[in-house]
Amino acid sequence: MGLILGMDIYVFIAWIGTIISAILCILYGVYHEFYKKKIKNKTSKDKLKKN
Amino acid sequence: MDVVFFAFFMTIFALVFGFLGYLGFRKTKTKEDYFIAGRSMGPFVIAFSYGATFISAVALIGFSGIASIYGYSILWLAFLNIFVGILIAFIFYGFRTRKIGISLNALTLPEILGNRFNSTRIQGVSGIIIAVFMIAYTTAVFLAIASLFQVTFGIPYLICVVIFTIVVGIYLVVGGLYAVMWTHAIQGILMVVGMIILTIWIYVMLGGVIPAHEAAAALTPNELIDMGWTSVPQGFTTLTSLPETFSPAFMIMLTLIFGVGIGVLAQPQLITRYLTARNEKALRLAIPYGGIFILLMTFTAFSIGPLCNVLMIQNGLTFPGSPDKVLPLVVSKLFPEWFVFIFLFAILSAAMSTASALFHTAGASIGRDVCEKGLMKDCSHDKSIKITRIATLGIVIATLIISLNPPDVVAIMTSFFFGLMACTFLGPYTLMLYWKKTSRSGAWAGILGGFLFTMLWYILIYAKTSSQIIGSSLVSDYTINLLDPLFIGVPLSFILTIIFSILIKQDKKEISTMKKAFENI
Repeated sequence: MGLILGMDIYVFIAWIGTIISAILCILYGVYHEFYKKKIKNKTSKDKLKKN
Repeated sequence: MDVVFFAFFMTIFALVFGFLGYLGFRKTKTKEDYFIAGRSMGPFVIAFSYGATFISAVALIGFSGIASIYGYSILWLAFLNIFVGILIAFIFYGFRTRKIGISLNALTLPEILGNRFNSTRIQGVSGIIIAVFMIAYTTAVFLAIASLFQVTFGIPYLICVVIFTIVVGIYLVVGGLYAVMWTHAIQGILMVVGMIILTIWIYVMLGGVIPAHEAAAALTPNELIDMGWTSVPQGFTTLTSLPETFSPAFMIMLTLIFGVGIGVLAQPQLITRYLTARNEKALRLAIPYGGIFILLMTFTAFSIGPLCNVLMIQNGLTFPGSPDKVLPLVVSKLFPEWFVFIFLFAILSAAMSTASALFHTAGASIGRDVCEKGLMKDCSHDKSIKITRIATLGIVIATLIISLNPPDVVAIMTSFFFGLMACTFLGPYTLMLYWKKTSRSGAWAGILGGFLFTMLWYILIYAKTSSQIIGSSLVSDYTINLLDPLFIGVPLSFILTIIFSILIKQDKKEISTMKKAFENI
């Protein structure tokens, strides 16, 4: 079986999976810190406008 | 190794931590301050403290050594360390544990269980189980690090153990969890710096990622035996591919990967970190920091393990006889002395951070869960802190005494502890967080069933431990005797908790504490 980055496919999946998991952790933080905050601020502004 | 130079830096190290211990002492006014750092910690400190507690020197050196023997298949553990150890742990356990901890005014895992099920006995028994096995586990951490320093750097075992215990003991007993978590942040940074430099350096030495991996893949069993391996593990293929399915090498990897990878969810010393968060946002933001920290620890350590073989063959070094000594040998022989110092302090930081967290949790288990709640019922803030300080000091001294003359059985505790905690607590702890009908009887059944099963499995079946306790395993089939008890113990504990919760339902008092526990969820 051919090697990917010098590793067999099952090991490569673990290798790339580890990096993707760390990226998911970062995305989770970024999403909650910036994106969700933005949506929250927008909804509260809309509510104020309505009032 | 220049011992004077080492002693100088060790003194600075000790003074900084001593100062943090003093600051912690000044800040510690209440029980909450001592046990959970006043529920005031921010995301960076939570993440680094969680990571530094999780990743011990044994994990860095021992597991990179295992990677040098079994190859890159151990990267599955790095994957689980981040995916389960950070993402699932924080998202599915962290937030709920913190909320229920606040609702029930609980400061430790046994206290959460005890308050949730309205039983000081559950709290006391859980506290005893944690404290007893944690002392043995901490001793094993001490043994590993002291032996490493003795063999590799020529520092006498006795001096290592005594200095190590005194430094950790002082800032821990005096400063409580504030001092422990602040020192963890510093220790975590040292660990990150050491491991990043080491990993990049090794890959550069071998010409980059792909050439390095290809060089490891090209090593034949004969070359490895010529380097000093006594034999190649049964089922071994190459260093960059999985072992043959269900071969002994495969079973060892499977056990290690799932034992540590899943076992992390029920470690009392890690659960305490959720309780220290100042708010939900801090816990949420700890996730990215934690993910990066674990990536820089386990992914690096496990990646360089197999490459050490290539470096040893290229530089004419022979296998040092034990996997634990592979990485220290490569560092001490192939790296300049300034980096050996950085590496030494990175490893020392990893050992100190884990040991201080274990001491603190074991001290809290005896002081808070057994003495204060079990024997004396409630007492004042000052008295509570005093009792736990004395208990922690007692545990530090007991560990020191055992470390100076350790019984054989202690050395196997590292492979034992994660599985035991998971089988004992994961079922009742998870169900307690998510299933409102979990009853006291269910919790008892899960805790005792999981605990007894695991002890029996380790004593009678599991090859690594039973050979040291009763001479040999009762089962000769390696697919059974190399299987971690977690594979059976955790489902068993879940099933027992569910069955007994259905059979013996909650009484009125339990229902009212359950409602209180879930009021913020």
